[in-house]
Amino acid sequence: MTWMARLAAGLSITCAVVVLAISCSLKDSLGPVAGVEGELQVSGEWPDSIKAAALIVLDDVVLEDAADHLIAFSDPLMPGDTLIPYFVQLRPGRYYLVAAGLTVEPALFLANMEANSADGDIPFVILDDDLSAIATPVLIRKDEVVQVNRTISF
Amino acid sequence: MEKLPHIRYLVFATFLYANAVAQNAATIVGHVTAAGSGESLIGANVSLIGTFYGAATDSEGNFLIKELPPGSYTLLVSMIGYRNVTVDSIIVRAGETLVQEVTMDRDVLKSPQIVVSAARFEQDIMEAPISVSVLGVRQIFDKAAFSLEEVVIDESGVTSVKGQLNIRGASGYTLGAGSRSLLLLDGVPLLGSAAGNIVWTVVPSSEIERVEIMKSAGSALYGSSAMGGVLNIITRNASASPENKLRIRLGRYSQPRFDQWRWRNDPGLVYTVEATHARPFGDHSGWLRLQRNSTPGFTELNWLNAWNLTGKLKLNFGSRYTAVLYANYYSENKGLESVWKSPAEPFEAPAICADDKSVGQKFNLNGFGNYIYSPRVVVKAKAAWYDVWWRNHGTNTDFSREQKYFSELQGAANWSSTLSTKAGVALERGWINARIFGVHNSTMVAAYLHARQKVGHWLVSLGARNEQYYVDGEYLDGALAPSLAVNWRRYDWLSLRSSVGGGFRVPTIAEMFSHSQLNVFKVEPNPDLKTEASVSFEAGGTMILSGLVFDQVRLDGAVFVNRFNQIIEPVPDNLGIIHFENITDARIAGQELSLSAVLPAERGLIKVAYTHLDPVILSLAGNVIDTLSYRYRHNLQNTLTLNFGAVAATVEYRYASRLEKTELFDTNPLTGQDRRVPLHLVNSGLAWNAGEWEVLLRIENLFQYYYVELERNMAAERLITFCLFYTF
Repeated sequence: MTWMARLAAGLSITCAVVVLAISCSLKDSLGPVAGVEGELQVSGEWPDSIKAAALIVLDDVVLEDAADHLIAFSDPLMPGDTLIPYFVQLRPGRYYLVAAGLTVEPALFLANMEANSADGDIPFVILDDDLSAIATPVLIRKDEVVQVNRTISF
Repeated sequence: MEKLPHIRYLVFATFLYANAVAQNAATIVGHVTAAGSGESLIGANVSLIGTFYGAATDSEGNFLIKELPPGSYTLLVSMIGYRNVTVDSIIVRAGETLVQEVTMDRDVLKSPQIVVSAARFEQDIMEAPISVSVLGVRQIFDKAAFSLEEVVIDESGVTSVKGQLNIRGASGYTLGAGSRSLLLLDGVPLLGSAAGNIVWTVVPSSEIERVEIMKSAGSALYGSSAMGGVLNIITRNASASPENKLRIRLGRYSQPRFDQWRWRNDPGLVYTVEATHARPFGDHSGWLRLQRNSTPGFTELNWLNAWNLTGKLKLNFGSRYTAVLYANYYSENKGLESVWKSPAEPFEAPAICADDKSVGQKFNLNGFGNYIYSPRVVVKAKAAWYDVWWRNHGTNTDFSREQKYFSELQGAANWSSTLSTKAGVALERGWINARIFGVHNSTMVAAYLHARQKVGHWLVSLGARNEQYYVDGEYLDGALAPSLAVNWRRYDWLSLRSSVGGGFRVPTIAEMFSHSQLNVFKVEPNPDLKTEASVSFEAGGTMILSGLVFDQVRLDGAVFVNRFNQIIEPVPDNLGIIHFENITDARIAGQELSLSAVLPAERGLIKVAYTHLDPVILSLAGNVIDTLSYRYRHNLQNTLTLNFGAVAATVEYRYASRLEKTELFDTNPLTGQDRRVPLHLVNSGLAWNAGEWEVLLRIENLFQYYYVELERNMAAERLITFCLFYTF
């Protein structure tokens, strides 16, 4: 085998690996996401029973059975703070946004989310008093981020 | 006071001995050349096997070993890019000077062949009792990396999670609060005593002679933090003639390839300017390097402005006394990255954190002195001082001041041509005053003993290290780590190795006393943490073949099992509060295979390395109950370098499988909120070497592959750099 042939063999193996790498890299890379973002504001005196406030995302506006329709929630706004920018990643679809008060510490809320969801007993209360806003769905399209600001008045 | 006369006698006897040795001393002088070209080789290492005498060739390829007792010696000459040469049965007589010519054949793999980390003895890499990877100057240069981290993660078994080094998955990600991989600089520990984490920025990546990566438990040799492996950086000594180096690196991050992610109009300029002056003065030599580094970063808070002043002094007082002094001062002003604004704007920081920054300074001074008492006995003293200060500004107002002192006294003896021993004691004291830890101090005392015996084709290494720890003046814990390793080398082209060793790591002050808020998560202290321990087993082999498709092939394989007891990991409890806890037991088993092949007529080099890990948490009964977080199960690294005369083109591809488990943020399958993807990174480079001038064009992340190593943190964007090196 001449050195030219050996060189060609060595290069062929490596080129095959590089081509495989490039094709894989195009497939798995992260890309733009869809969701809803904005600001969650609070005004008035925080009740002691509310440990944090967050925007929750439901796939249907059935408030008495919200746990069964809970899709996601925003990072929480802590007592004493009046505003938090939020982003919730969502798949394309129709959703309802509701301002909720967490009745336990946010860390505890997150730690037990799975168990509470299974029980259908998630420790939050609906804070929104603007029912028309709750009932208005938000339509999310592919790679689209929709702006929604919401204010909670205690 | 009564003991003083004895000390006087001892000093007088030592003087008489030294005087007698000097009068009867012999000398070896020689010249080292390259086979074929006849070119004199500068900087080749020359040593006498079984003794502690040695020298390096000067600017004309000459070497000199003096003050040598008469006798028969074996000369070993080594140099990166050349095959080791041994000259047996050199007989030197009292008062005589022997002249020895040495010719070295080129090594087409061009990687260093002598290592010191694997057994604390200088040895041929084929005789290393455990798996060791070695990076030489060329491999570091070709990366044009600002941080050494970017270079070492291309070695088999080595990965990084947001700057945290993982050798065979030992560390995972511990919020920067503890590492199971130890960083040594010229054999001296370079970890902070509080967080125990690697500080990459203080490593002078352009002044490194070689990097040795020891992949098995190193506690028996190096103590706590080395239970998952050791990275030993050996800095270069000054050249044999005056030399100046100027290095300029200019770069630019690309704009994100998705319009939605663009966050600035101009990505700005990444630059590094560095000047080094090296010179001999008399028998001594030294170098001084000043570096300025500035980057706007690839994310909003990834910016950095830094100054780095580094110097190294090597003092030679005859053949028997040498000393090295190394100093580094680093000052930085940088953005304080935490998490991204959102996955829709992954390169921006949350608005409230947009002005967060950190200002800090680091000072490191270390050195060692060697005294060759006789050809077969050497005493070495090491000392280091480490002082780090930083303060955060913005939403995070943490601050820290940390100081560490380290000293070690070591004696080594070659009892015969086959038996060597080494023993030492070490002391480390640390002080920390940090907002999230409080005020604490720590003390470590250690003693170790190692022996190496050659029996036929077998090399047996046996040793143990005992360490005792005190925190805030109270005894914390102690541990003993033994190790046994064998290497079998019947042929030049084949060596087999196997080792078993104990490891331990005492909890760091950060793990015991951290008290902070990380987003919605609270980190609370756990002063009751216990020392974690491990048992590591490894078996492997190295084969060097030629005459196949390639000019030369080096094949290395290993299987390993590391069993950890009471491993410390950050764990959120059912209140959502993170504590560092001793989580029962864990096991990381795996296999590693690497291949380096030189293309015919040295037209290029192919490197392939694959590591498979099985990182699991075990119940007390030994059953698998979960996966350890932040470990890549599969890791593959490929490099192809092609040479066209003075031009070399390189393509690198790195694959790591999707992280199976993370800790900080939940995923949500209903929304697709899970950013873990496999890594597919392609880098490329084009280098032109024109003697004094070298030019390098590098593209990192060529195809703009986007991934996260740590939740809510986008990894680096494509970076194009142009580097110019001028040596005069």
